[in-house]
Amino acid sequence: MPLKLCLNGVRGSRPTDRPDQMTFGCNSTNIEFKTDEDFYLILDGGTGLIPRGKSISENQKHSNFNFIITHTHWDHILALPYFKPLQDPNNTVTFYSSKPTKAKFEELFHRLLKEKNLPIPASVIKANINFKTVEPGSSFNIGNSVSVDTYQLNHQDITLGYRVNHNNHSACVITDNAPIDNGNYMGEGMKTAAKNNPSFEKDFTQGLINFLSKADTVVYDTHFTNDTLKADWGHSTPEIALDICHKAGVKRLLLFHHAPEDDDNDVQAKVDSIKDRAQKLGVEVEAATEGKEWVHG
Amino acid sequence: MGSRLAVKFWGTRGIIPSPRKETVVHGGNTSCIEIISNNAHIAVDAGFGISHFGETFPEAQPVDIHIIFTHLHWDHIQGLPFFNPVYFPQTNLYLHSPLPKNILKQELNILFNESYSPFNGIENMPANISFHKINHGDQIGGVEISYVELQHSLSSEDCNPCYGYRFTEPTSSKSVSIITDHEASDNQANKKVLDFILDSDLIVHDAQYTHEEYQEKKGWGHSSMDAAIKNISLANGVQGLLTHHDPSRNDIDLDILHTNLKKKYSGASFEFAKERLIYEVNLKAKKTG
Repeated sequence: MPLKLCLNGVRGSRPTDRPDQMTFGCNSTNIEFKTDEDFYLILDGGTGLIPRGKSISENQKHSNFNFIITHTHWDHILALPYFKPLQDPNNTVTFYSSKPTKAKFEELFHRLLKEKNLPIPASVIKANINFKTVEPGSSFNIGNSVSVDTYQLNHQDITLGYRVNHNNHSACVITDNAPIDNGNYMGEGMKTAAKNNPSFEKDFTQGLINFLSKADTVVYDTHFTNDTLKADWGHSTPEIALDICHKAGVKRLLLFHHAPEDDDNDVQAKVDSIKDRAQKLGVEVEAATEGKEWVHG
Repeated sequence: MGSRLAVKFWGTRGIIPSPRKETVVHGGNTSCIEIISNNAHIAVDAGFGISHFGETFPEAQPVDIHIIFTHLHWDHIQGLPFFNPVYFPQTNLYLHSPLPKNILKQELNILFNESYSPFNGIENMPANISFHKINHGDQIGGVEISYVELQHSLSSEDCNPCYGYRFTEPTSSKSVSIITDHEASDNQANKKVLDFILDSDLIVHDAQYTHEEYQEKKGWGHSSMDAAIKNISLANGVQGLLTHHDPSRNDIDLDILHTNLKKKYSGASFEFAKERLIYEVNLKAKKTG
């Protein structure tokens, strides 16, 4: 059975709203992996989760929901409390997230639900909710045929890149992630690791390439262009993404985390800027598009 | 320069941002209402709509901006980290509420918390940010402000009330009232609100639910459209602006509802607030009736 990758939200930093951004999409990060297993597998809780939650609850196939969380910045988690299936007591929702740096994900999640801030009554949330901690770099299985690998990315705290494997196909999400060179060490523990390892930058990059090896599709944070790149903001460029994906033998690269100021022409320009080179290197390139699905196998 | 009083909606949506083709006319951004006078930059609430308000200010230029908070629900504060002037040291940003200043600061600090954002607290942002407790009769840029407590289910111990505001242009005594978020019903709290907004020229009112929806959502803290229109009529409001649109509500739904409500309440003057539209108060017009 195929592994399907569905993009419900592709906008970076915050949800936007301009009509000239609606070809590629305004909702913030939300990605779904569809398999023939009896659970839903969703990455992050950006605003793309909300229409998806509504459509799931109208036509619900499973009562098990698994969330894999990259990190807890607002654009990646703000919509979680409004996920409609959380309101059904027959549902079980499990959150996988990295081990805590400053606060546990469970605390950060419950903080969103406090009555003083939550614009709906928290009592409507009735599902069984579980929290699982993921050691960065570790792997885990979900169900019978899905395995998930993780890799710590170059972004604040412990931000996790994910690789979802199913029936010999793999789809990966690398967001949010900044270039590691020139001492731009953003992740928890990286500065210390670099002090103890003069090859840290090389090892990090090779590790990422190995992590993505021969994946069918990689969704990669390409918020910036070469001209606009601010490496210490925590995001990458199409050229960097293409370079990594080519070295990893990735079949398809989806440019992701479209900047809030990018209109549809800007996003298309990012694709166009690497299209020719990507073709020579044998990597398909597209812009991550809200509502689009890619089927593997 | 002559006086001016107007409102401009930068965000009309309640609960969660709802950007899609079907909402572009009324807007998908969460709550932000600009109070336009000639002398000050004032916004009520900082939902995501505030990011577009922020785009109107040239970068890195000295400016004074005032944000007044009705309450602390996410849809009324979540846009603050995306308000561009926050990132420039030339900005003087005044944050106002009837709450004690330290409480307002403490509560808004979560938006810049190091687990949820790349920042280390609101006081470490580049802008010069200060917190102010509103007292009745305070003036900002010559506009007088008073406030009233609204009915908005905030019952647990660590909750603070939701406040409505009335902005008065002193020379003409014309006023704009902002009543959101508020659940209008036949109770003491609503009577106080009616007294507060009496004879206000422009009344912005929470109208999230249809009459049918409200039957299932009593106690959730929002008004039905009918109750909002009734409040506006009872207050002799010259113009009513209905806001806090439900996330499910598309432009076409609001147009149909408007037509039907106009038939039902033909004597009342009300519109569903649209993002980016400016609604002026005619400072010269005399009140009729």
